Amino acid sequence: MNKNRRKRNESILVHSLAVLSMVIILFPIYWLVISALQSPQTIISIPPTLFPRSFSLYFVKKVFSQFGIGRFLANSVFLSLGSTFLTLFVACFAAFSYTAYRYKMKESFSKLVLFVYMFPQILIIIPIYLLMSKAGLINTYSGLILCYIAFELPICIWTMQSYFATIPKDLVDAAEIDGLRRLSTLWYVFLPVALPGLAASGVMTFIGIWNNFLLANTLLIDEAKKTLPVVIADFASRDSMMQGDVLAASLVVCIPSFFFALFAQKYLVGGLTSGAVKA
Amino acid sequence: MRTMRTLPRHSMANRQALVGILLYAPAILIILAIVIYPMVYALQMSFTNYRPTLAKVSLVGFKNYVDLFRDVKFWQSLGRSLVFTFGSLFPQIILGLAMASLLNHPLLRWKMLFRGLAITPWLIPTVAVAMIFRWMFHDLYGIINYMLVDLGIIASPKAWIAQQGSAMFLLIIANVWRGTPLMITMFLAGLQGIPADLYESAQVDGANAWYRFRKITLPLLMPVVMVSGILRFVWTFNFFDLPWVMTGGGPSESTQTTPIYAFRKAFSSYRMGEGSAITIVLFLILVVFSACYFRLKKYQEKIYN
Repeated sequence: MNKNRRKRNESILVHSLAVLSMVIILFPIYWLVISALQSPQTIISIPPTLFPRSFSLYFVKKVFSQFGIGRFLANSVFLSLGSTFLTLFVACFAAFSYTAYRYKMKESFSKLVLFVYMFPQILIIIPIYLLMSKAGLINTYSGLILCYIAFELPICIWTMQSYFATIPKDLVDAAEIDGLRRLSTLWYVFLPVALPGLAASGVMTFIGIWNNFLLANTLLIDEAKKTLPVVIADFASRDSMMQGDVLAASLVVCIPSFFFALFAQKYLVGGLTSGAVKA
Repeated sequence: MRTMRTLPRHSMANRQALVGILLYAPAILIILAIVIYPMVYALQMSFTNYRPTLAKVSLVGFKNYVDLFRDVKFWQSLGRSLVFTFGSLFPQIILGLAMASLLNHPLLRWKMLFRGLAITPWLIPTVAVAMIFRWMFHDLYGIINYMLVDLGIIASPKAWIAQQGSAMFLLIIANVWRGTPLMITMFLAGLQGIPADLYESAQVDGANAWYRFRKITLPLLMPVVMVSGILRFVWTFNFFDLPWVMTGGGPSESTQTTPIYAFRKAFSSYRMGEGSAITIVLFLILVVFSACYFRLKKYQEKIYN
């Protein structure tokens, strides 16, 4: 009896603590959504209301019609999708090579990739700017995409590697005895089993590129080519911008985050931890 | 006879090795071109007076480094980077441990839901994080000011972002919010490696929750904490986006960390040589820490396998 009651009390405590911490963790996101959906009058109400009754799309409409957010949104979508696809492509071959082939340089390759995982972009931003200028790749998406691929490769390669490693060697051997060349096993044996890994790497890479500020801010010069995060940072430094404009634009840049938080949880956890703990 | 039979097999292995290398080659080539070569180029540049405005680039030896070590602003920026890094890291580790233990509690239901929600801040783009926290701590309309005044913690609304000490504080708060989910996720993964019967037998022995945490969770989780800690140290120390977007290094340089100082030198003052010297110093710090990281990782692998 006593034990059961203690257990129930503990359970109540644990659940209240969990709910309380979620409220604190999610409050800034809640506040962004609430504030961005106010009208110019209600957003500056004093004191601020925690649970406002009225909402307005005024600022969201305004950032699209007046500040042309749509264009930068399209740039961001194109860059993120394109680079993610290319990164996955390159990473799959690398991870497959590491798992299915035997050669001496493999460990050095792997170490180099691990090193890049730690490598902060700020360290190469000056030389990459100058080198890209020399190569005529400054202010081009090709140059920027190359940088994105380089920095997103490590997490992709690791995630794919950790999924490839779960494939039994017998399965691969059997496929080879059936007449498949080793290279073809990537397509027929490895990738089908590692589809969740592909999704996890894809989500991680997309987020990394979508959120990127430093590279896009430095390597793109034309206003029309800029990405959403870069433009939002520009917005904030303009005096003419209202708080509501900046917040509505921030809400738009968060849309993929909300999407992934709702629908891609399990891939996120897989992607985050495979690079961190297992690999 | 024997050599004849081994020869084809040998060349077969060579062929396979070649295919393996070719498959890995695109990744390696891109990394060499985008990360390694530019780093070498930066090293080279750091020994020159490279400026886009200057007609001729000439070697100046160690002058940039000597100047740097005499530069008060550089040392100040390093100090701020350390404050920012440790100020962010300790709360992240402590909150991460607490949250991971809570979310791993055997009595907690809807674990996946809670864990999923706890990751969300990490998904929010840094630029949006900066804007959210600037708005929440706004001097006139910020919700936090009202809450703090209501609770009697501060007497009147404060202009957090405009004051020297509080700007750094705000930056750290935002960074802790953004970075803790990653810690929680890593620690949770580590916790799952700890066998449940260890806890059960401790519970039978009458050990309370705090004792169990101290004697079982913490020691077994230590390798994960160290590895994530070092990784986060390197990333936070070199974190450019948040301070740049949120405070721009201000007010009056009070949040100008070393990465921002390097960027300013190169892209505001156009002193690429001097800027490169700063990044090389940052790189050397990175090398020391990554050596520790590789060591620990090896140690961690030994434990977990």
